[in-house]
Amino acid sequence: MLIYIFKRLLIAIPLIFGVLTLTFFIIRLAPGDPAAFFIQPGISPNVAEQIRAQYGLNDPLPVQYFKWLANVLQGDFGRSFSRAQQPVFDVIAEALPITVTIAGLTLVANFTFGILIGIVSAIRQNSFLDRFLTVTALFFYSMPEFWFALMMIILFALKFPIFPVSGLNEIGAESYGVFGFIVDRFWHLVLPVTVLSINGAAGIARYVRGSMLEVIRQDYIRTARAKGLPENVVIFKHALRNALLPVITLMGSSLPFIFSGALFIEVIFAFPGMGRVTVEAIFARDYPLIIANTFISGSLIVLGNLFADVLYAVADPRIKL
Amino acid sequence: MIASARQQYLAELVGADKGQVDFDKAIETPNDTTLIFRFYKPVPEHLALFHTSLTPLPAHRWKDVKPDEFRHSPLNLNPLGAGPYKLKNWMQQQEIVLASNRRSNLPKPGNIPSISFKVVPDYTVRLTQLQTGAADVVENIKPEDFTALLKANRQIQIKTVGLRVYDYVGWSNIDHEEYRKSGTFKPHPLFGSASVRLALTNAIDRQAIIDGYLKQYGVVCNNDISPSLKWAYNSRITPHAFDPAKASAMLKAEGWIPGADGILQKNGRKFSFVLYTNAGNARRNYASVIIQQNLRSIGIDCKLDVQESNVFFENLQAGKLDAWMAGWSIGLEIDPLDVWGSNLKKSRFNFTGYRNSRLDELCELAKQKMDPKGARPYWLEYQEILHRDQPVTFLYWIKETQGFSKRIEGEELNISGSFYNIDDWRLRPSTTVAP
Repeated sequence: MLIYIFKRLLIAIPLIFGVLTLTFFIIRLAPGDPAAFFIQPGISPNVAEQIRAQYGLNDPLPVQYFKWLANVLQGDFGRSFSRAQQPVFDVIAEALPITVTIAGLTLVANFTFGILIGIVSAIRQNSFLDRFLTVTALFFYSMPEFWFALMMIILFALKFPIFPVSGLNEIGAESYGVFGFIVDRFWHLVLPVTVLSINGAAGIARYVRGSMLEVIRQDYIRTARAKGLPENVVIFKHALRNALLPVITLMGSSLPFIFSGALFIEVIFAFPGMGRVTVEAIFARDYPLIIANTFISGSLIVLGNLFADVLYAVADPRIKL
Repeated sequence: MIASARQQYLAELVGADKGQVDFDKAIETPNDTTLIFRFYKPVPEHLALFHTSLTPLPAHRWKDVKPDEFRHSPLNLNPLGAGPYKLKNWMQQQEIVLASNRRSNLPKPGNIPSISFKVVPDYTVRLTQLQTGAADVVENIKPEDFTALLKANRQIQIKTVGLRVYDYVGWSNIDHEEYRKSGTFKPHPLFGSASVRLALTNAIDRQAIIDGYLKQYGVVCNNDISPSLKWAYNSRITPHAFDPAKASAMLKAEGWIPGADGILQKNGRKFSFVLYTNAGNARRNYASVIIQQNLRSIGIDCKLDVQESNVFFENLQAGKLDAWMAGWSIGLEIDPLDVWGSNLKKSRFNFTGYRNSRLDELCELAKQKMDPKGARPYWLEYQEILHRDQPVTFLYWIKETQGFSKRIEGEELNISGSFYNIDDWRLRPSTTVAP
């Protein structure tokens, strides 16, 4: 298995470089000028030119590419154009933990609720509860997330002010003590994580339901029941373990969705995470920051997929890597 | 060593007339609280103050920073000042926390102990924060939200600032393609004539846009000198009225005759164009639809196109747009040559290609007056020329509308901005918990 993981990691390197190269050219093909911010009345015309020269944007594209490549191979992704020329990884170091927290919590919530709802739907197939859960899941699955986010804010922050509207912490949360600070942080994460996970959970619930229904009809489940095992053991030990196998692959493939979901969640809830950094970098044509963000999220997605494949092999002894 | 985005203004310091500013002579610091600038020619006081508002950097912190590291030195994120507030915490793209500077004597410490500026990208969320009391001031509340907001929370009031922002419809006065190719000036086939541009202004119902969107927070705009700049504003100019019949007659006199399909034609060319604007501006979207209808009713085919802001700005600069809607936020000093100057290489923001030598002259004459009031006659004439030539159709001035919690007292908003006297603001202690 270790050899397999090693091979996959080796394949990932050209893959990620391919993605970065594509990004490098695509963003430079897009209209817009990173120095545009400095083109306005009252600002010396020299400034935009100085900035372009400093960023190396006056070189021909192939020259820019090879310079960039040489720097990246030494681990230097450059400095952000739009954020006071901070090194891009300093910007990312501040933003990444926030997004990883949101993504992690969302992933957990996705699968916990998705699996629970799926099991209940499957074992009570065609009951009122099953139909209710199916319709509800479909309802949330079809909902545009940005709209749902605004509705949740209006409902739970405005009409019933239970949760805060935005931000990661209250003003002055530092004075709450460590425990208070963490509770405050989680309190701020309830709405965004709910919005981000409800859609995914609904999808997973449908998968689990289908997969459970298939497994429940298998002979070994009948055998287990015939042995006189309690229903709990039959469902959770015999049926669920087998039913979850296809769901594990979902874990890897849901990562890109969670990351792209984080883009608008962070904009709406004013979190300074990777999503917002990326969106702002794109609007500002902050090339180094866009590429570094692509590198980080691309790597995380590749690793996530690899992790799901490995997990698959761990869960199912029939699969040899 | 000067590293500033405003470096072109140093052109009037001693030595600049001989090619190189002589900083040793031009800038002197006789003691800790005095900074002396020397100019090689007389410069009006208000312009001198404006142009030399370069922020001095404390030498004891910056002296070891190399010139090419100025832009990315971490010291930029930790500014040192002596004003009413000092920076307590800055989390980029998240919040800036200021604390009252107890030792300030420029002029005094701020009243409110701590002020936090938060970055909240989404408008709906900002509105919600104002309504729930999570924020005390939110700028640029849209007029359509006032009623619901004030009803939901009686502790909020709307304050206005202005007038410094206006929207306009830009018409290419010259054929930009010809100019790019050969450097020669040829009138634009549609908008090259002042008479046609005036007809377009007459055809657009500016008051309807104001009534429908800005309501009492909009004023018809005649030119780019704000009515708030009373010393320069020409109050004798009457706005061009909304008069489609007059517009039609003027276009007819210019040779634009309705074709079989009802669209005006001249020498086989239809009066048809695309009006571009930038994405994400509800006000301009609203206005552009009304303009489209107005023009359609006199036989002009105006298609609308919305472009992402970067793309729009790049196309505008490259002279690729025939007609567009955009806006300017004006400075408090009048220095409009950047926008209207005839030398298109120097006047980088003259997107229309409008050229009028008398206007250039007036701008130069006004600059030479030591007292701004002395420049008044020049500015009066300047406004008459713009009114007559209509290089663009000026639409409306916008009163910026800021939402304030009533627990803030002592705020005085004026044309300099919403936070003009923030060090004098007081917070009324709350008697009840905010709803």
